[in-house]
Parts: sequence; C-alpha cells; structure tokens
Amino acid sequence: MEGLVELHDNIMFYLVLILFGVAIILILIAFPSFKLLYLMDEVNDPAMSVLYSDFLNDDNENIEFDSYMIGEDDLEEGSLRMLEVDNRLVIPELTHVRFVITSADVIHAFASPSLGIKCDAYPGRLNQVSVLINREGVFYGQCSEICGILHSSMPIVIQSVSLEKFIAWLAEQQ
Amino acid sequence: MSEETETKPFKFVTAGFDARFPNQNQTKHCWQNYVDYHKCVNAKGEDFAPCKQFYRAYRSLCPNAWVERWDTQVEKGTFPHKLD
Ligand SMILES: [Cu+2]
Repeated sequence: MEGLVELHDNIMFYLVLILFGVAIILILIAFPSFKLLYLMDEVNDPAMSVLYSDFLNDDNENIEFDSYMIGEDDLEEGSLRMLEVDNRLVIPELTHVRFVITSADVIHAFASPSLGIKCDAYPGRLNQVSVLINREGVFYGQCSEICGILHSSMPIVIQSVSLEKFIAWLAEQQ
Repeated sequence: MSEETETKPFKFVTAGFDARFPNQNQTKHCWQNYVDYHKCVNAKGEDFAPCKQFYRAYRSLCPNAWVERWDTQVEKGTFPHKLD
C-alpha cells in the first residue's frame, strides 16, 4: 500500500499506465477488423469456378462456349444495343462462384459494375475474383481496358438463375 | 416435363482455397496442380485415386488451351519442369 501511494505523483507511472492501456485497446479492436479484412477477399470455399468463359461441372467435364455481342441488325425489340450477347454466362444464385480471368491476346478487363467486380485480363496470367449473387437477374458489363478497335463490342452478360434452372442449363450445354 | 425425371444428389466441386496461393493471381495455383498431378501419376500410377484431387484442381483453374499445350510438351518431353 505504501508503494502505491508513492506512485500517485509519479508522472512516469501514469504515462506507462496510459500507454499500455491504449495499446491493449488498440490491439483488441484490431482483431475483429483484421478478421473482416481477410474475410473480404479470401476465396474460402467456392462451389464452382468460371474460367473467363468456360467451367467445370460435376462430371469433370469442361463446358466451353463463346459469348459474342449481338449486332445491331439482329437485335430483338427491347434488348440493349451493344450490350446483348448470344450466349449469356449463366451462374446459380446463392452460390459462391470464382471467376478465373485471363486473356489470349492483349489486356482486357472483365467488369460488371452491378456485381462490384472489375478485373484485368492478362495473357499468361490467371486473375481470380469471387462473387456471391443473392438474387436472380441479369448483370451487364463491358470490357474495361482499351484493347483495340472492337473494344466497344465486347460486352459481358452474367445471368444469375435458380439452382434448378442452372442444372437444366448445364444439361443443355452437353 | 410430364415425364418422371430422376434427380441424383450431387455436389459442385472446384479447387478450394489454398493457403499457398492466397493472392488474386492464381497462375501458380493452376501450374502447381498440373505439375503435382503428373508427379503423382508418375509416382503412384494412373489409377491412384488421390491424384484425382490435383486433376480436378487444375482442370477447374487452367484454361483448356494451356492444358493442351502443356500436354503436348509433356508428351514430347519438353515440359520445363521435372515431373518425376
Ligand atoms: Cu477488350
């Protein structure tokens, strides 16, 4: 008790006490933020991978397709000019999906603003972004890295469907 | 859709998270699984089931064109990595 009373006018004692106190609080708040930070961009357990435009079903077969823009002359009424494609990229809703993005010629970028993804596509490199869509819908995007004269003619259409419809679509592709 | 359709239980499988490749760049992830698969097959034989794990991983990560090119390199013996 005597010792403690003496510390009452000791500035060093309070300085150390406060510094350690603040340090402990900072460390305690750091843990949840780091956890959140790492959870945000970690692809922990994706259910499927979409490889730019081909992916793998449960029979170990790749499904491969091209997705080209529909020209102005072939557009159906009401569909969007310079955005509609012949084969939409169909993925199931409520499923953790990994996109693996690469390019065969020059740098492009795979983007869909409404999904919050934008990722450059480099030849010889595989970039990954993960997506979890909560609802059905059609999500548009465009190549977002100026790549050549037809840069404006490479839209991206991602369609999120229910699991049953997705399975039906998979069966159709084989 | 009046016919009775049979639904089999199934599971989507793809290459999971690998602590060696936490990056956005997954090039090495694909490559490593390709190399590991061939090493595994060379050591344990084509029918060794655990090798399938690597096979599935590289099939879902690597572009088909890359796999084709590597396969021909492996056949010719010009693949730039030891596979034994
Ligand atoms: Cu482009």
